[in-house]
Amino acid sequence: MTAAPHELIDAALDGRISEADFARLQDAMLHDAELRLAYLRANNLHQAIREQAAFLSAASQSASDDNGSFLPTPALPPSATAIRWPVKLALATGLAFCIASLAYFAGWNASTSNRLTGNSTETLLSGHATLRRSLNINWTDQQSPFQDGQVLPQGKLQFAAGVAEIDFFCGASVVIEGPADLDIVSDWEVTLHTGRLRASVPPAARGFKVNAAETQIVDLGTEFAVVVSDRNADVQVIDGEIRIDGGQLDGTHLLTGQRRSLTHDQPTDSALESILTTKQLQLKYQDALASHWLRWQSATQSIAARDDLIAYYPITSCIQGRTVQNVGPTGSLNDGQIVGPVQVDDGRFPALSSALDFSSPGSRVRTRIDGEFSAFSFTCWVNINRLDNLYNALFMADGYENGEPHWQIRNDGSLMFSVMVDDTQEIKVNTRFEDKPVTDAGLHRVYFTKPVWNDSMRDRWIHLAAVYDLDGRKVSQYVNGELVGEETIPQKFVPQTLRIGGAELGNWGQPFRNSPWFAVRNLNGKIDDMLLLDSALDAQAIRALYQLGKPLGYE
Amino acid sequence: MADTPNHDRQDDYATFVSLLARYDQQIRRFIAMLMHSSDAVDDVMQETAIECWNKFETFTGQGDPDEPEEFVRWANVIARYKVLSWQRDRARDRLVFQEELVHLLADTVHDEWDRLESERQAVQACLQKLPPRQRQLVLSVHSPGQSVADVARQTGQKPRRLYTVLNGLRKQLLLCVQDRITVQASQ
Repeated sequence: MTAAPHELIDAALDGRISEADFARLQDAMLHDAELRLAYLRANNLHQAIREQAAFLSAASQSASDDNGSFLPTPALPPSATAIRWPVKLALATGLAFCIASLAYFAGWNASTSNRLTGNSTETLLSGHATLRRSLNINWTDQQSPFQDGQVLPQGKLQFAAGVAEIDFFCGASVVIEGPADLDIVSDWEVTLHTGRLRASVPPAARGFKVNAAETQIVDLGTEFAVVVSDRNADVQVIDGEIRIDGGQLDGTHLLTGQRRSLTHDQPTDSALESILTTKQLQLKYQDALASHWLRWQSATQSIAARDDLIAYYPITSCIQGRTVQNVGPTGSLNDGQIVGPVQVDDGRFPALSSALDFSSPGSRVRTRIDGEFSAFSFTCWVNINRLDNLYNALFMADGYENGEPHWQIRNDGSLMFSVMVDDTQEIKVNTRFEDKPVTDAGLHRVYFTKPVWNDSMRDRWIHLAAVYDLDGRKVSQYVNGELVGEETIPQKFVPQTLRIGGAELGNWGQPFRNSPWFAVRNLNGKIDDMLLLDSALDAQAIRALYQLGKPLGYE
Repeated sequence: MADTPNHDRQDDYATFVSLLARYDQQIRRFIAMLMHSSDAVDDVMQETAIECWNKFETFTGQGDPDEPEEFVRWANVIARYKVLSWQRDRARDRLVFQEELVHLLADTVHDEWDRLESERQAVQACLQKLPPRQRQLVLSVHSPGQSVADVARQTGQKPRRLYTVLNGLRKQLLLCVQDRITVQASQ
């Protein structure tokens, strides 16, 4: 459970190192010239930054009444001018919400519950462990991939390369380095066919078993390692005691530091201690995450400088009080305003980036974007808990007037994109709530995809994109960079122009004029990184955006 | 002492002050390299400066323009021993380097001086390449009188999260610095 010496350097320089770690670092530095140089380079960097900070601090103190700190401007409470949305609007939407909630509970709650008690929920709950963290995992062709945080069911787990940390429900945690082939047997038991495994077993999980080479290794406290290849199988107690049942060592107890082969007279593998500890994996993971995130951070800079930008809300580092900053050239003019119980939560780079959680009804981020546009390309990352509502909002223009877009997800998991063509016409729409068609305002056409989301995708980040190509008369929609729907815009539904006006992220600002039924449209989930462009991106450009922004561990 | 006329000592003093003024920062950097905490660098620097003055008669270079840094090398020998004696006084505090390691580090600094100096000079340009908010963050935690814990409190973040971010940013800076000096070396 200890970090490698070079990972302790920053901690030492930051003055947050423990005495034990300091002693280890010192000891390693005495024997390792490269580590000494690494320490000096890091120290050199710390000093250079410190000198620069001191210089700038002195400069800013003499130049102005600045307090000399380089902290981002503190979040200010929204001032009167920052609240662009009058209270009466909030009341109006609140009222609509109440009416619609009533309809929701009275009208179609039953059908929803039926839908949600499907097999997928059951399956998710019938596992024995969770995949806590994985790094550079390369799943085998036979293995359906798991993502971090997912529950692992009973059965096989195979990966060709990478490292996984698995928390068994009994409390034991194991780090497994690939190539690995194992069977999760129960909350208390795993069978290792191939791979390198280190098990940490707290007192509550004493009795945790690892089966390897027709032998059962029973933990009697703390930590041990097992390595199984096609030629041999070795076990070593790192700290504590184990008992071996079955095989050639049946009945043997091994204590700290002891190592045995389960298959031969002598242990053959000499690198059992080198299997990553939980702590080492965590550090490696954090490093990988941080550099991944930094790559994304510099990508956002270039996105923010695009010519075709309408507005861009990276969310991370862009929340100031109740304002969601637009980082595009139009700046605060198109900032979003948080309304209602929106939560700021982890984004797709846990602990490093932020996202907005709209799961409480009434959550919304309002913005206003004036101007006329020639095309729309909207992209965002979403993490959906559930499609609670018939329509679940991503980005919605208020009201729905000529040229205005609606981007949302239907409760069957289909993506929907539409633009109002003529709001003076009345059309009849069939709904599942009423026997006869409902009068709907305006001529518009909704472009649906096949269902792309289901309950099994909960807690996973997905990248969505919708491209409304007015010149090319085409609507294309994408999930994780893959095209999932493409339709021609019929002549009748070609709008004169495209605009946005007042609009919301994660909810809908105003219900249909004559029907409050669909007004509850908050997305029960999180939105991260909403990008609105005035151009029609092609498939390659959408794929590039997905690749740039994908979370760690995505293909 | 009677052999040393008073005015010589005064001349020496003027030379010493001008050398110290010129090279103070380099000596200070050398001291900081041997200590993992920046808190005591000022104290050790002060003791080093006093000792340098006391021993200035033994400095034979007298500021040869062809050897502008010989004063630094001479002063660094004194600085090394001042660091050692400072650490020795605090040997009961277990967070100080052992004597042997201080010597090894000091030798490495001498051997790698040019590289470390080039890297140091590249840091400013690399800081400029960071996105503004990240740059602000890195600078703010290294500002005089600030610590990661302070910044975490002021920005409402968890220190652990901030350290993760910082370590990533520092890693990024080190890579940038390395790239820059590699490019410079190949030009």
